[in-house]
Amino acid sequence: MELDDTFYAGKRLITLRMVLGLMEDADNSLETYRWATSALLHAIHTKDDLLSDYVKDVFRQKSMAPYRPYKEEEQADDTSPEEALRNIRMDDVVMRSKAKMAIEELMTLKDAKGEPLFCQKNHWWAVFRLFVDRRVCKIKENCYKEFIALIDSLEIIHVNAPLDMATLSNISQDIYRFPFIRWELKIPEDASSRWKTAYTRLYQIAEKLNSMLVKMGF
Amino acid sequence: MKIINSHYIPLPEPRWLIANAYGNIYEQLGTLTIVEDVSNKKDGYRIKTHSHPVVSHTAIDSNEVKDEQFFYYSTLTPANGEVLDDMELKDCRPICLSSLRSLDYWRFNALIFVFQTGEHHRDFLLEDFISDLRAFHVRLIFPEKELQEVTITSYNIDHGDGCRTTMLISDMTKILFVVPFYGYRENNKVQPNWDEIFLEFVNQARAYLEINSKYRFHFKSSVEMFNPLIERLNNELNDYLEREED
Repeated sequence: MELDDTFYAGKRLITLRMVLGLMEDADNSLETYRWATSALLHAIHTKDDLLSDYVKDVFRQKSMAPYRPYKEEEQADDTSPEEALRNIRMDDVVMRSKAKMAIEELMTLKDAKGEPLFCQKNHWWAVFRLFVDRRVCKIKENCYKEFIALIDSLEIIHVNAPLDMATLSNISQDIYRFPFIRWELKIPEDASSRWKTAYTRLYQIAEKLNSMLVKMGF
Repeated sequence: MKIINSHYIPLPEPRWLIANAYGNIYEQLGTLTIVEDVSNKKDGYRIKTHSHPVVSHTAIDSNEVKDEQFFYYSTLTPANGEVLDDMELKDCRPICLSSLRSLDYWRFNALIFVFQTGEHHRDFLLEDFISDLRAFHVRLIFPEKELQEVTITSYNIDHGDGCRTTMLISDMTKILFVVPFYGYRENNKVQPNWDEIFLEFVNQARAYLEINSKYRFHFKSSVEMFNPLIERLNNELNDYLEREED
């Protein structure tokens, strides 16, 4: 027993000296961190309190953590059903279902030739504009990302034209950035006939959607 | 973590309405205090206390209210007596007594200034805050004058760690606009474009029209750098706002 004790005491002294020397010689904090972690593991393994206290002191002095700080991974889509149920609010549910119904109905509308009224990417401008004007689902000016996220989350089975960020954010270049009631006043004098035909179609879509939203109580 | 003790302290009536850092409003029923032992060898005996509000999400009996919006609001909210485990009382601000539901614009300004420049300013929405106040039937006392002069200046906020934000703010004693202008993060300047700043002003002006639809805003500033923005605000802002008379 005596031999064992002195043997371990000697080994501990060697380890301590080695760790001390290596940590003092270390060129950077990462190297110190590595030596200190291995010393700490050694101390835990051999149940050496003196060494582990010393290493923990070193960690404290150097303001380092003996383990990697736990990083919570971002899992926005992976919320538990209980949490989702906790965050739900009845007015949101009602508003979202109404908005979905309005868009689904808009997709089925036909023009004079019997073709779908809503057929181009930039027709989403009218939907965005009316959602901002009527404050549907808390969509505000400049909230393009939120609008796209909202339409995605509604999971509308059929849309006549896809919605993308590049087209939607171009709304700020045209008169459609103004509220719907001001569109007629803002028509530029030198507008081309092509622009005017596009405008009339967008105006029709916006008018239809507006009347639907007003009926639904927005 | 060693918890020494925890206590529930019920509050007497009339209770206070409080708002958390995101601008959500609750009625505070009581406080749950937790005493934690954080003693260590170096500093000796130490304790740390946490106090979490215990809240009711619906301050009014929804059967008495005929307002459809409030009915929707109050249904499906968690039942009364929830402990806000992610918020402590120091993150919340009192609004008014639940027996005197009114808030004047001075205190309103102070509240939104704290929220919009605080840690969670990205999650705070002025419109939501105003609509929540409406849902809790808090009467907002605001100046009745239709033409509101808004003087804009810049205000620096130091978050520490080389992170600094500059906000555009208006006079605190009048209608308050708080818009992020640019931020410094580790000496890199992050500046949103003027379009974004302008549209943020539009969003906030629209929120104020919910309070009084007759408001007309006139902007001015003594800083030369803001002159293009001021010009655009004075010329175009009105076109973006929809009023009842339209």
